[in-house]
Order: sequence, then C-alpha cells, then structure tokens
Amino acid sequence: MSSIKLRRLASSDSLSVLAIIVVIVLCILAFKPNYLSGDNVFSLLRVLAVTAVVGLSQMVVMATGGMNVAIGAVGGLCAVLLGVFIDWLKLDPLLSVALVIAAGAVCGLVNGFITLRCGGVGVASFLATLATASVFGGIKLSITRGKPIYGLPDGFLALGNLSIAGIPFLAFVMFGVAGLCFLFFKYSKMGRQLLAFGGNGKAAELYGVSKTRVIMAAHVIGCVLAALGGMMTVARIQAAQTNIGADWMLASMAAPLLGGVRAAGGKINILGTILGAVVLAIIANALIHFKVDIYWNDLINGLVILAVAGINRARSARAV
Amino acid sequence: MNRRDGVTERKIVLSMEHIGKSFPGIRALDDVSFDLREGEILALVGENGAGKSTLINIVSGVIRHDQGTMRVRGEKAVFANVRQAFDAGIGVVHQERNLIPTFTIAENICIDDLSARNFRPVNRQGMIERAKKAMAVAGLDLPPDSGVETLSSAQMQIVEIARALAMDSKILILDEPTASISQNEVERLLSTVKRLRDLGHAIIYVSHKLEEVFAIADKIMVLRDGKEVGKELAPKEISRDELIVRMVGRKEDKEPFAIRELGARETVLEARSISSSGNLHVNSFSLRRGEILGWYGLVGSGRTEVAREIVGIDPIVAGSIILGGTEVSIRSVADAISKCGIYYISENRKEEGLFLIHSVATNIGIVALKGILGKLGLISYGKERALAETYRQELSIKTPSVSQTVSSLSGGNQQKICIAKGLVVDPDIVIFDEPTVGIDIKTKGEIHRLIYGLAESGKSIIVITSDLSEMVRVADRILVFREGTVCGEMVNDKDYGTMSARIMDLIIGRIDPRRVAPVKQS
Amino acid sequence: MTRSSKNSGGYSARFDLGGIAFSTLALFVVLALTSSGFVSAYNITANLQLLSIFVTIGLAQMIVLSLGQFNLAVGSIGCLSGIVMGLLMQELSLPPWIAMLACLAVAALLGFLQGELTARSGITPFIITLAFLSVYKGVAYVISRGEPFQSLPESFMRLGAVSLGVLPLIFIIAIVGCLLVYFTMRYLPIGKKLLACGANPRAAVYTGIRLERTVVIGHTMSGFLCGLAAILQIIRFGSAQLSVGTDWMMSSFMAPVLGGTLLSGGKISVGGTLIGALLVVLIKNALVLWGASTYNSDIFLGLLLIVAYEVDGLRRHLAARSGLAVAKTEGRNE
Repeated sequence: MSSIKLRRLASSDSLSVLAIIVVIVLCILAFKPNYLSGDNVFSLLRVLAVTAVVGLSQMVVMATGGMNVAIGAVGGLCAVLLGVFIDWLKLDPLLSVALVIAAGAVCGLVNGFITLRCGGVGVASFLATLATASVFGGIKLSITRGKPIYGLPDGFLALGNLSIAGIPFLAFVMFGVAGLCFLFFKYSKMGRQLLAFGGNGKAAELYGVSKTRVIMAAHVIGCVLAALGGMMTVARIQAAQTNIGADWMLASMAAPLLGGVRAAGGKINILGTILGAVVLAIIANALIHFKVDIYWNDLINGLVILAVAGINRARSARAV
Repeated sequence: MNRRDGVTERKIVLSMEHIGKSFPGIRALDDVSFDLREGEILALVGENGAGKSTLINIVSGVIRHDQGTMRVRGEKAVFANVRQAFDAGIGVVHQERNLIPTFTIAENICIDDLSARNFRPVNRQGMIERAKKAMAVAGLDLPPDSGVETLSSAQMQIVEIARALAMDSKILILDEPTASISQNEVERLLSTVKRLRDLGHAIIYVSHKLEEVFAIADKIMVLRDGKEVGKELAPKEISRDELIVRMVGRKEDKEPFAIRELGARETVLEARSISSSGNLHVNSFSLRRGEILGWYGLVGSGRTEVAREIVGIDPIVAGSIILGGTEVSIRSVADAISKCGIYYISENRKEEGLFLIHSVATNIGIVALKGILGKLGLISYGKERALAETYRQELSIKTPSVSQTVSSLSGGNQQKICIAKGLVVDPDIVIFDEPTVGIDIKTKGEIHRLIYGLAESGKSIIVITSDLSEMVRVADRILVFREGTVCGEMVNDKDYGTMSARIMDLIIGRIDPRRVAPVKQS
Repeated sequence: MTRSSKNSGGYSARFDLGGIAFSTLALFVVLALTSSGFVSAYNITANLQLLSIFVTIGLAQMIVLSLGQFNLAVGSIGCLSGIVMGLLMQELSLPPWIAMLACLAVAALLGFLQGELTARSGITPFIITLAFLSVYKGVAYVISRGEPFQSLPESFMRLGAVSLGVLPLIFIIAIVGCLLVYFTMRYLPIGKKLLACGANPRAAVYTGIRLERTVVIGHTMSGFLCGLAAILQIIRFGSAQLSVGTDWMMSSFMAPVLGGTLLSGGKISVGGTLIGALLVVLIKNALVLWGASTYNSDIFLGLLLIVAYEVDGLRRHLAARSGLAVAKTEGRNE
C-alpha cells in the first residue's frame, strides 16, 4: 500500500514543481548567497501574490476547458478603473474596490456571453477573448489616454507595503483567494459543475449541468480574480499604470500548466498553480538580480511552457 | 417474484399508445404502441433507421412525441427534458460512455445531484452511501471513491447502470450495451441485467445482436420503417429467420455466391507473427490472390487492430509482412497504398473515411492526386470531375451531382464513396472493415456483389464483419478472432446453418482452438 | 437551393463572398461620398500599403486555418525575421536583397520549427504556438536589445517610394503573393492535401496523405508569408523594430474569417481574404477620417472581430441547413 502511495507522490504534479523550485533556488544561492534575505523575499512574495492570483484566475477558466486571452486586458482596465474611482471621482476607497470587482464581473459576463455565441467549447473562448481583449484594452486606453493615474490615497497604498509577521498583506490576499478556490471546487455544487463540464461536457449536460451557467460562472469568476490582480498590482507599484496586465497572458497559462492543470479541462490544482507562480516569480526575480535584461523574461516563460508541456506529454505517453 | 407465470398480473410501468413522431420530411414513428411491465426485459430490435433511437429518445425525454400518449405507471407523461424523465424513474444507458473521466465512481453515480439547487454544498458522505447502495444492486465491487479513468469498458457500463439505479430508475433503457465490450464481459453484463429484472426493474434492451436478444429477452418488439411489426413476441416461439423477416420485410437475401476453388492460387500477402506497440497480440495469416478472406469476431476481438498493422496506421514492431514473396516494411498508410497496393476502408466512414464538408469529386480525387494532374503537372478539375463521374456510374452513387457535399448523402451512398476512394488507386489488396453497417438491405446486396466482382477480377480481399450471415455469404475462407488473436480457420461451405454453428462454437470457446485443423495451402 | 450545396471542395463558393463584397463596396462608397480626403492619392496609397500588409498576414493565417489550426505566433515570426533583416542591413551592411532573402528564410524556418513541433510532439498545437509567440518575440528582444534598426541603407529605403501610378511597390508584391498562394492552394497537390488535413485529419491519413509532412509544410508556408509581411511593413515604415507584429494577431484572423475561410479548417478563400483585408483597412481608414481617436480603434476592431465570428457561425449554419435541405428532398432523416 505504501509503495502505491509513494508512487503517487512521486508522480504528483505539485511535488515535481516543488523539486524544480528547490533546484532553481539552490542554483541561484550558489551565485548570490544573500538571495534569501528578508527584503528580497518580501518583494518576491508581493510579486508572487499577484502572479498566483492571476494564475488562479486563468485556472478557473481552464477548468472548463477554455482560456481567457483577455485576462491582462481586464486586469489593466480594472486597475485603471480603481484609479478613476478613487482619484478622479473621489469615491470612498472601499466602495471603489467593490465597484471594480463589479466591473470585473461585467467583463466576465461579456466574455462568457461571446464565448457562448461562438459555441461555448473548444476554441470558442480563445476567439471570444481575443476580441474582447482588444475591446477592453481600447476602453482602458480611451479612459487614460496613455497616462497613468497617481493620486491614490495613502491608506490604500499602505496596503501594498503592509506586512504582517514579515509576510506581505498581498500574500494573505493570495492565500484567501486560494482558500476560496479550494472551497469552491471541492465543496460547492457550482464548482463541481465546472469540473464536470470540463471533464466531459456532453455527459455533464445530459445530467442537467447547464453549459450557459458553467461558462458564465467560469468567466465571471476568472475576470473578478483578474480585477483583483489588477488592484493588487496597483497597491504594489503604487500607481495605476497603463501597462498593468500587459505581460499576464503567458504567466497566467504557465503557472497552472506547471502545476498540473489540464488545458483540456476537468482537472485543477490550486497548490500546483501557486507553486508554478513561484517558479515564474523566482525566475523573473533572478533575472533582475543577475542584471539580465528583462527582455529575456518572455523567452524564458515561453520555453518553460514548452518544457512543461513536453514533460506532461512524455509522462502521459509513458503511462499508456 | 415469479416471472414466468402470472404475466398479465404484473404491473404495467410504461405504456406507449399510438405514438407518432415526424421530422421534416420523414415520419420517424407511426402509430407505435406497446406496454412494458415491471420485472420484464423487452428487447427492441430493428434495422438502422427503423425508429429505435427515436423511440428511446422519446421515452428518455430527449424529444417529445407528436401524437399518442405515453403513460408512466398509469399517469400521462410528456417529458420536456431529460431531467423530467429521470424524475419519472426512467434511466438510460447510452451506447457512448457518458462519464466524467476526472471524477470518482461515486461522483459519477450521483452526478444528477450537481444540478439541483446550485448553491448548496456538496454532501460527500451522502454521495458515497448512495453510490454504495446502487453499486451493490448493480454488482460492482470497487471502492466508490476510486477514479473511473482506469476502468474497463464493461465496468464503466455498469457504473452507468448503477447511476441509473441511484436515480431510482425503475425503468431502465440499455442502448446497444455490448457494442464495445469484450466477450467475457458480455456474459457478466447479461447476468447483471437479468438480476435487475428479477429485482423488479423493467428493462428495454436495444440491440442488433440477435444472439443476445434471444438469450435475454422476455419479449421482443420489432420496429420497421417507424412502424411496430411485432410486439409481444416470445423468444421461444419465434426463430431467428422469422425475426429477420419481420425486421427487413422480406426474407434475407441469403443467396450465397458460388463457392470458388482457390487451392492453386499463390499467396499475395502473408503476415508472420506480427504485433505492434498498440496491439500486443501476435497474429499470423495469409491471403491468396483473388480470395475473399473473412475475419469474423465480436466487437473488440482485435480484427481492426490487425488490419491497422497491415496498413501502416499502427506499424508492426515484431514479425514480418510478406508481399508477393518479398518482405516489405509498411510504416505509414502512404507506404501501404503506394508501395504495396493495399487499401483499407475503415468502419468509421464519417470519422476516418470521408471529408464531410467537401464534395464527392474532391473526396474521390484526393486519393489519387497524381491521376488528376493535367498539363504542366497541375491539378485538373476537369479530370477530377470525370473521375468522380466514372465511379458515380459504376457504383450507382445516388447524388444530384459530383459537386454535392458528401455530408448530405445517405449512409449507403457515403459508403460507396469510401469504396470508390479505395478503387481509384487500383489496389491489389482491399480490406473492408464492416462495409455494410447501418446501410439498407438493397445497398448491402450491391456492395456484396461488388466485393465478389472485385475478387473475380483478381483483387484479393479481406472482409472484416461482425455480421455472421454477411460473412457466410461472401467469404471463401474465414478466420475467427477471439480476444485479439485468430482462434480458428475454416473454409466456407456457404451454408449458414453449419458455418454459424462452427463459428459460434469457436467464439464461445466450446472447441479447443488448438484442435481445429488449419486449412491446407497447396 | 442546390447552388448552395454545390462546392468545389474547400474553396468558398462565389455567392458566399457576396455578402462581404457588398459590405466592402458599400463602405467604400459611403467613405467616398462622406469624406473628401478619402479619394485623394495620398489616402489611396496609404490604404493600399496597409492592405498589402494585412492581406499577407491574413494569407499567412489562412494557410494554417486550412489545416484547422491557428498560428498565434504570426506577429512574433514577423517581428523576429524583420529584426534579423534589420540587423543584417544595418550592423553587417549586407545588401538589401540578401537581407530580404534572409528574412524570408528565417521566417520560413521559424514556421518550420513550429510545424515540426506541432506535427510530431503530440503537445496541443495551441500551446505550442502560444509558447513560440513568446519565445520568438523574446529572441527578437534579445537580439535587438530593445533598440530599433533605423539606419537602413538608402537603396532599401527608396523602395518605399517606388510605385506604379497610385499602386505602391509593396502592393504589387502583395498581389503577386496573393496570386501565388491562390495558385498553390488550387492547382498544386499540396493545396488539396492541406485542405484535406483540415477537413478531417484522420481521414486524410487513411487516404495516404502524410499528415505530419503536410502540417510542417503548411506552417512553413505560413511563416514565409509572415516574413514577407514583415518586409512589406518595414519597407513602408522605414525601420525594423520590435513593434512589428504586435497587432498582427487579430487582423490575421479577421481577414480570412470575414472572407469565407472556416475556422474549423478545410475551407479557404484567397479572394475572400483579400476582400476581408480590404474591409479591415477601410474600417480603420473610416475611423481616422471620421475623427475617432486612435485609442478607440482597438474597441472597434475587437467588435469587428466579433462580427466576423457571427458571420462564420452564420455560414456554418447555412451550410448545414442546405445539406439538410437536400436530405429532406430525398425523404431521409439526417
């Protein structure tokens, strides 16, 4: 019995990612012994928090077998809207956050609606969100006209720097999101419906799962999390910059893929997605430390995706 | 409950009275009436297109009937959707698997739980209890929280039966349940079904496998062209032939083709101990020039797998293939066609044979691109058209024109196009895999005559079929497959009675295959 | 009724394009009437230049669409091959014609790599192009170190001014490209094979088509066209920079889809892609002429893409219905 459990552990996705992380960190430590200093870890955790939330956002949509190309556009738009509500319209910060969440939900409704129009399954979500990415991005641009929004209240910005027992507040947000996702997918009927639909859409629909509800729910939740990610970024960089979300697309897919989430749907892995985000954050952070051009980031992320997909493929081929 | 006597005293759980259903341009069901009692297995038989699926879909709530009344336990019922049918106690197990591969057995069994009252949390313990109960009745002895991905086809089927039971289905509909499971699992399934009947469930068993129908049914109902042509037929009182007569409307055209003397012919193809990475079973056989070699077996007996090895879809990793005396290496279908002159006509014409969105001419032309090149080596659409017209006439393909999109043609004509594609390359060896499944009787006969004609003209043919009478009609020699390998070989004396008995004996295993003398090659 | 179910096997029938041709013509007329600047030589030339680039990008995507796949890396292939061309001309002082050939060769190679991995690795094609999108772009960044190549040789820069009357050189090149693609897809065996693989990859294998090879060739052709588009764009704008290709992805889908190419594969139209590209160019022009800010154009283009999807869905629906209609007349239930 124990050998079966050991084998399952060995092939467990989370464990493999953890192993990758340990290897990378050790390599980095070899060159930069002070890598794990408090300051560096703190800033790493803050970046990680956003990347993880973004990865979880994409994971929710991937659970149904789809993808959200507009994840960066939604995040960027909502980040800007936060600035608009707080700075331009001088609304109460809490109300503003709530409104931004609502805006994210609206974006999700639009994504879900058009995805359904394109058939709901297969490449539908890619096509739909490809278009909406342009629309949301255009809306953001026409609001900001290319200029960032700076005047956010100190209280809000302090959240970005806040640390509780040495761990940034943003990381707690990440844990909260992860916890909610866990509860949603394990214990709520809606969450199980999403997974059922992703696993076998035809069978799920036969037994009463509504494709419309599932797609809508997945996209709304995904975009709400993207909006959250946008706001977290604003808190971290202390301004509603116009390029927030520009590099999210790739990382949002890489993290779940690294963590063992199936692109075809039906299977999620929250711990794996977070660990995947850790890998990406460490790599990006390491590039800065080694004074490598940030331009290498795209290249490395792409190679990471290829490597992970290749390993997954080799694994499943062997399992046959 | 004693099911043999007091038949009329058992409660009627489902009653269909003068049910009619039309689709645009066609009358799918016309004045169909029957009763289903508890503790009874009603077998529903009929050719493809007879209306079986339509009837099942009406009972299970997929579609609504146009005329007539459906009563469940005496009360009038009209199902607007599948859910209502479930609630009324009707459970369906379809031909294709409808399981969520990433869920556990218990979650699959209790899947209807998900869609009710969306915002409640999932009750895991309750699910496992409910699943255990259903699994006990269905006879599935596995941990409820194990995954379904690794189960065998038959086990998955039983999970689906358990699911229907868990939904309190007193009326079970099984649609071609043995279509894709192996022989020994068939017996297990049949005994499970019988047990459910003994427990009082009412079962509609849809199958085209008449052997099973006779083995399991209490009553047989026959549909033909949407009409009911026999409904309380007791299996003991009707013979297979009579049943077929009712199904097709006339005696099956069993006039066999002449027995041919092929002893002196040379061997064109020989497979020696071949196996592949996809099919570990080792097989050997030989094929003579102009011979029609039949491969018989139940679904899943491994015949298609061997054909795929010969034709390069699943190239061999061991053994050898010898063509006309020389060993050849076949690594792809392109190799098989151009190097070896072997063409394989798949049983899945829609998935593997046709380009549904393209025209008849394009479908035929694509196989022999070299043949439709005009001047300067460019594609000539005039030649493509002419080629298609030739085959349209030769095979009597019914289509308004060769520019017609293939998807709009009937099954029989689609099959003819698949055959035309095979003929275009002028192969020496043609493998027909289930050539007449889902095709009307008349076209079936045409295709059989075509196969015979090809053999007479010198082509060597392998026919794979699960239709015993088709096998006996067409083949010169028959290989019987069981569980992946050849278990017997016999010359066809074209007498259905003796041949079917010998073949079935081999299939069931009554004869030790080692004691069947192989056919002498001279 | 029968006319709609006739098809020449993978090439959109003429009537199919009627709708979009009409819309394009209508828009053209409206623009000509409502805006005085529209029919000016300057505007027409600018439009034709943009059209050249868009139609080439559209054809690059169309070829992959014929296979039933997507090439998400169109922009990145264009970017990287363009950067290489700029590098060769500016840093290594190679003559422009060599640099252009190199650009095409590099682009074809990039497409080839994508095709090889797609055909042989078994990884979802989607993920592969997604990854290559970043990898190629990343390599372009690394090579150029973020700097554009702006000091291109005089002989190259002059190409941008060459024209035959109102027809700029790059437009002529693009039209030649269209004709070559049309010719290849319609009269060479590879065209038939690409369409077969897109219509039904499994059936294609069973008819003896070498699926892997066809996929690789298709992606290579697509890459080549991306390189051509990059050359056209760099000639037009005078510098080889990283922004080449950033907005190609959306346009690459819009032109073919509006023009009758099925997203699901097996059916294409070169003429339709040209008309679709023209429609996109006219809409962009309209936005400018009617005073919409550049910030808003993204919104309109996104909406246009959604319209393209609706058109694609409508086409499929009509095709299914006409197939059904023929079945009806034969009294069968399909």
